[in-house]
Amino acid sequence: MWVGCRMGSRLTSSILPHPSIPTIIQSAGVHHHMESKNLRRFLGIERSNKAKANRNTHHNERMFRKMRGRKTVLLELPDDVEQRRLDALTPNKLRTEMLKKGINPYREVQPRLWQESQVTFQSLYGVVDPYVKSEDSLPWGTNLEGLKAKGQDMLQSVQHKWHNYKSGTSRIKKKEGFEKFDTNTFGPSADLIYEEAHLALMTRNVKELHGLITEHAYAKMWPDVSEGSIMWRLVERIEPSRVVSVRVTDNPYKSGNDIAQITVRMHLKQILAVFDRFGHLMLGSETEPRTTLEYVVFENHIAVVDGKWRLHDKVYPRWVNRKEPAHFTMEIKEDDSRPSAPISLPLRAEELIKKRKNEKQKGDDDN
Amino acid sequence: MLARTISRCGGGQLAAARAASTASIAPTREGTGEGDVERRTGEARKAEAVDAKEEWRRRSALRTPVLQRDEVVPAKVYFAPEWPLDQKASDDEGWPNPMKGYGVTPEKWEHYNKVVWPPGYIVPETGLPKPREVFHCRQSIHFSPKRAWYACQLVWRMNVDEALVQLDLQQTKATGMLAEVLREAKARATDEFHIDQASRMHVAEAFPIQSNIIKGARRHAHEDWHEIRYRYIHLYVRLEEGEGPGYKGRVKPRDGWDKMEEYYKYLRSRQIKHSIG
Repeated sequence: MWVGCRMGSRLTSSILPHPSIPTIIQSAGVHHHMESKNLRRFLGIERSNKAKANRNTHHNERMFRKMRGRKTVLLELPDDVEQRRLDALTPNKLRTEMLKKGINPYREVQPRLWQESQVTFQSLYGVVDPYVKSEDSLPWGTNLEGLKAKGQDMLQSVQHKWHNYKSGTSRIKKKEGFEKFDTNTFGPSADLIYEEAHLALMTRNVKELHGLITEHAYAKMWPDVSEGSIMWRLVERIEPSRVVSVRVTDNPYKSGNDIAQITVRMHLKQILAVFDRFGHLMLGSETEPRTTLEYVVFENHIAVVDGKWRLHDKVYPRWVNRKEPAHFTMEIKEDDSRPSAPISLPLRAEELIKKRKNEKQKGDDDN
Repeated sequence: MLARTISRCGGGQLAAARAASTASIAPTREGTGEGDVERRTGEARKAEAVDAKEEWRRRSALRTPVLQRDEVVPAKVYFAPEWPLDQKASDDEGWPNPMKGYGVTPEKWEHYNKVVWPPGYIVPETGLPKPREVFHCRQSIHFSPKRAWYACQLVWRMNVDEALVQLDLQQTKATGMLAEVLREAKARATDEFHIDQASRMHVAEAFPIQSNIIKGARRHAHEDWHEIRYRYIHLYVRLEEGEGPGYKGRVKPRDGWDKMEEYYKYLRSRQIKHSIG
């Protein structure tokens, strides 16, 4: 209900309305269809203008909702949410999911990813004998244990020397073009290959690189320059490089397809800086040279005439000093689950936890 | 909120300390004869520290249109793996069709992540170091591109953490989806790209592109059949290190101060005709 606005404005000064002012009945500006006289119309069962199309069927023909739904063709649409959930599942859980749906995961489904790698018989994808004799010879022990260890060490080194000759140099010398092969002269050529390989890697010269390093080494070295860049420079050679171990094996066994591997000890001073893909320094330094002692393995497919010595791998003996890894800084999140102090995880941690639980249960039962 | 502010402040100090340390250990080195790479790095160390406002002023200056004949193609300084043109996404016969898979595709977007910039690279146009970026895309989402567009516009050029807060405040499918994608991108920044402070990144780009339409059908009155389009989209996101420009458009919109400057310039350029001076 409202009062005429003209009168209302006049009355703003006084609080009570004047008794002589007539009140006016509200009249809404809505078009009516005699609802007060027609109950069916009032309840919305009947429409006012039946000749006019009903534009709001979702509202005033709600009872036909299901029937209208049947007019749509139902499709099986790819569900991306479900797919993402399945992709995140572990194989075991995925198997359970499949079994729930009535799919046999062991018969009707193929593995999700197909992994294959190319293998050639021109190279060995590893180091045949990673043994390198320790530079500091073991002292003569005072007790029996020490003496035993010393004896073991000596035996091992004698065996190593014997293999260097028997399944190393002598086998190489039998091959055509290697009659005058000498391990004493191999050092300088190994140095050259090492340096050229690293320079080719730095400039990402793939064609040259494949002539200098093996496929095995390529898989290890290429990520350094495909996910970032490196800056490498040889400053000086502290000691002349020398051959430590020579091995020849054939692949497949007893086929005569001989492949030779030579481990060279290199004592160098070099500069190495590793950058991430945006050119930020991650590891090392561009100016500060470091002394490195490396045992580098070179490989040659000596069974063929056009085999070349190529850089193959590096050997890290147990007694060698460990290298410093990259330091990554990161934001520490305010997480309550973070332990305040570092805890060393024991070996067989899961078993130990189980054991402790069992003991605790036993104790509870006894009590 | 306070915690976030604190962590941001700490981040700023850390970053500054790191920048200073990098500058001290890497002075310019020339004439070592190691080739192109080294010379570029020698140049690279000349970048000066500027604030975000100055940075975006320089970057937006590059937006002024240039005639194509005046354009200078910059030298290719970066390394990226070969883009295999013969390997197509579709199994169609023959040469790749330019009308198929044109524009931004998820493969191309991911390929940007594989670009390697030279050590200490400085963008010559701005004289500033290249900001670190993360390109991320979620593929084949069943959602309308038009509705996804609104959510994308909301976070466009906003700080990531701020964007996540804003998206979480709006409870719609589009915003929830975009928030998830942004979280994924942020996780990638720390895990994959060694970006230590992912909170200091901003959403440089966020946009949906329709990838597929599956057509359904619906019967109307009098056997009048019409198709229903079930649309699928790819949702693209690019995070960039540093602060955003503070505006959403291509260039900074002119405010009253700019207009005043322009008016002053006009006033001072007037000349009295046939005057002595």
